[in-house]
Amino acid sequence: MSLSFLTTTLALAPTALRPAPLTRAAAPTMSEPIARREIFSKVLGSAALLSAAAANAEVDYAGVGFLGGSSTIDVNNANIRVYIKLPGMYPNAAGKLVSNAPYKNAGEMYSKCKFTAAESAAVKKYETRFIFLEPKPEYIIDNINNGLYR
Amino acid sequence: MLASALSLSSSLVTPAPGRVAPMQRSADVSMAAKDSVTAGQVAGMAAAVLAVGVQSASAGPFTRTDIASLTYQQIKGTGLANTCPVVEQVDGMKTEIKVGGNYKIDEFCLEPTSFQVLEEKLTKSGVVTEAVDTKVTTRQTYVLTGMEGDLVQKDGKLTFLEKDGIDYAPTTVQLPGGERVPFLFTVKNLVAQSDGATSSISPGLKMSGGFNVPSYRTGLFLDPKGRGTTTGYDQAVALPALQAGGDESLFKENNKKFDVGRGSIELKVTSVNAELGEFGGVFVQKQPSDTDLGSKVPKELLLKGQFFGTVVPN
Repeated sequence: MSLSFLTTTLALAPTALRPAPLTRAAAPTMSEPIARREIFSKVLGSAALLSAAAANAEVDYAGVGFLGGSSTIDVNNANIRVYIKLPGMYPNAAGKLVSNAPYKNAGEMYSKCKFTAAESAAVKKYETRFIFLEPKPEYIIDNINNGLYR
Repeated sequence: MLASALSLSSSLVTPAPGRVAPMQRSADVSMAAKDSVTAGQVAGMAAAVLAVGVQSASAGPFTRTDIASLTYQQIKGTGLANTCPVVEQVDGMKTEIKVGGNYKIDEFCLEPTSFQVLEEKLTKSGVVTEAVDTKVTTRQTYVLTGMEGDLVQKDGKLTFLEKDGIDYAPTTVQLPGGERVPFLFTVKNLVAQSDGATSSISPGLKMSGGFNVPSYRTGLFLDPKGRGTTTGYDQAVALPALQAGGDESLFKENNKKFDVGRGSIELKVTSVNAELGEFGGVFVQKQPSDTDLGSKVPKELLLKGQFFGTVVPN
């Protein structure tokens, strides 16, 4: 009897007991499907025994526009081919950027990458277009070769 | 005659000119297609067969200098590329590499020789976890090689921070019942620390540490219904009646997650050649298998084998 009481409270307060997820996208989504998914993801989370950082499915990733589609580029997640459009960056400066990602800010970018003078000049030219969002493992793992050769 | 895949003879055949002597390999791994050498390559020559001998301990007997003396055609098709070099044994060699300040490990190679899956079995004494032997179905592609990383002192202990190289190999093993277990054999972002405070590599040194196991499928992978992590659908569009609700039963498949797991490895150095800076030994590694983008519970794998590495100044 008391057990069933506990389970109902668990079902009603999913957010309090959920393991901390990665920051969710800020995109507006319907609240009802999210609540349903939160309950299920908590139930499944207990079964994901060995995950260190299990990401819940992020259906509308807010940073998808900064992966190369617009003029602002998310340095932490963008693939290296995004820098082909910026003259002077590819392949040397872009290679260093991508190999030493992720960065917290532009200062850390310069200190980690150790650009030469020419590369540094190129990066400074486009520095205002670089942002440094939360690095996501599914983008970082593909930041050199994501299989899209266009 | 080109011996069949199932011949377990460990015969050393004198190599015909231009051909590599077949190796004796420690064999808990039985490969699906041993005779990957085509008939054309062995035309007229007796056996460049990769003899899988049931032996203890020693794997491919080639050192780095042996391998460097071979041409591509001599290596191709023999399975030699799927082995780690062994430390060059020289009489009276020094067996201690002193690691000073700015050093790194290069050409770090991991060659598993046994693949086991930890399965839970219900026995009279309750649920026990036992290691079940498996066989590899993805042929000779499972060795990690060419890895490099910094060798530093952390809290007095020798620490290896893996940075780069071929540090992942998607592999599939088959359980005795026929079930296949795919996994990403990897040591990505390995941080291996020695057991005690030391600043040199010598036989008997033990290092252990953890590493990340990224998802077997990466972001752009689409499942048969077009659902994926960073691309693709987020629901089963082939079942339009479920779109308005009622697809909770499909939630595991609809909710694609990029699961990153953790694994652990223990390395034990058994031989060192200080002049060449080479060291080699055995390892035991544990890691989770594929989670199918979050829809299934991963199994735990236990891999044992040999490793090799060189120490070079940075």
